[in-house]
Amino acid sequence: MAFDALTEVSDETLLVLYGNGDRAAARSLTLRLGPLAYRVALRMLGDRAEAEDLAQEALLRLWKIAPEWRTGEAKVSTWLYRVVTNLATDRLRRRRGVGLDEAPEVADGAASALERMIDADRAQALQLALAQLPARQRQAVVLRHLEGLSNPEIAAAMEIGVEAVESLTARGKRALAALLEGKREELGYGHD
Amino acid sequence: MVMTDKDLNGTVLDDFLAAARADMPEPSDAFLARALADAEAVQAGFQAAIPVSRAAPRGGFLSGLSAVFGGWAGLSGMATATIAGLWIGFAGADQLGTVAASYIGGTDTLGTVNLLPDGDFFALAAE
Repeated sequence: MAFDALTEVSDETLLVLYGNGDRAAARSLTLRLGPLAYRVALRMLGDRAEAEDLAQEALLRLWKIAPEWRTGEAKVSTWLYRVVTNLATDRLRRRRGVGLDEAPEVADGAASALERMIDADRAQALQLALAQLPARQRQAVVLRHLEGLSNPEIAAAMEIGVEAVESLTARGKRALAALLEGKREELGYGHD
Repeated sequence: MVMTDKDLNGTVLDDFLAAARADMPEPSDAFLARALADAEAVQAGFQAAIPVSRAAPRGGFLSGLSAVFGGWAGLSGMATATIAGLWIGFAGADQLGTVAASYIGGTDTLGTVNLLPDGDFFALAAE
């Protein structure tokens, strides 16, 4: 893919240009937002093919609403984070066949799943541990600690309050730490 | 499993998170190509809709009539012919001879005009 020539232009401006028929804006937005959508989808779903499928679906929604985009109301990236994580949550819900509220804090079998992973590096270990979190916790942890969003931004993306975000990220981190605790030694950490 | 404050407040978990951030997953070129194709296809739909929504305001009856007869030049020619027809009508058919005479001259008609009344064409050619 060629260099994004419109790097200085905001996502919102690009989206308006795109809605007005600017082909360069279509390319720039794809190069800018495609990796973001894919990355978050993969963090949520843990499967590359499914993540690409979901990211494409989320982007398609963005393309379609471009002419009606209301400037100054929300960041394009926040909107995309919301759509991607909501779509991923829906898929996780269908995959598990249970409501998110009924999902266990740490799914049964998580430890054994981690035990099977012998040669994985820390990033892979974290991804595997993320997959064991309830969807909303996973969503909050991914946005906060992997995408680097602020709590208010996450609140906007998840359509919840900031306090709820703080609670979800704290519980998520606690669960992740619990899942990874047993892998410390084989992932390069000795006993204290 | 028992968690300690040390684990939560940094060190191990933060290392894992940092490792995950550094391991930035990148989408395939095929995915980006599909996403761009979607973007361009949807955008083409916008552009197809633009001429309808931004069409020039429609003109009145005269504009439409003018377009049918080839613009204002065509319409003015038709107006001239119409006025000429009216004049002929008012002047009366019995005066058509006078009118014709004013154009042709005398009482000769086109059928009896002799361009060489006293000449011999072949004689002239032989000279």
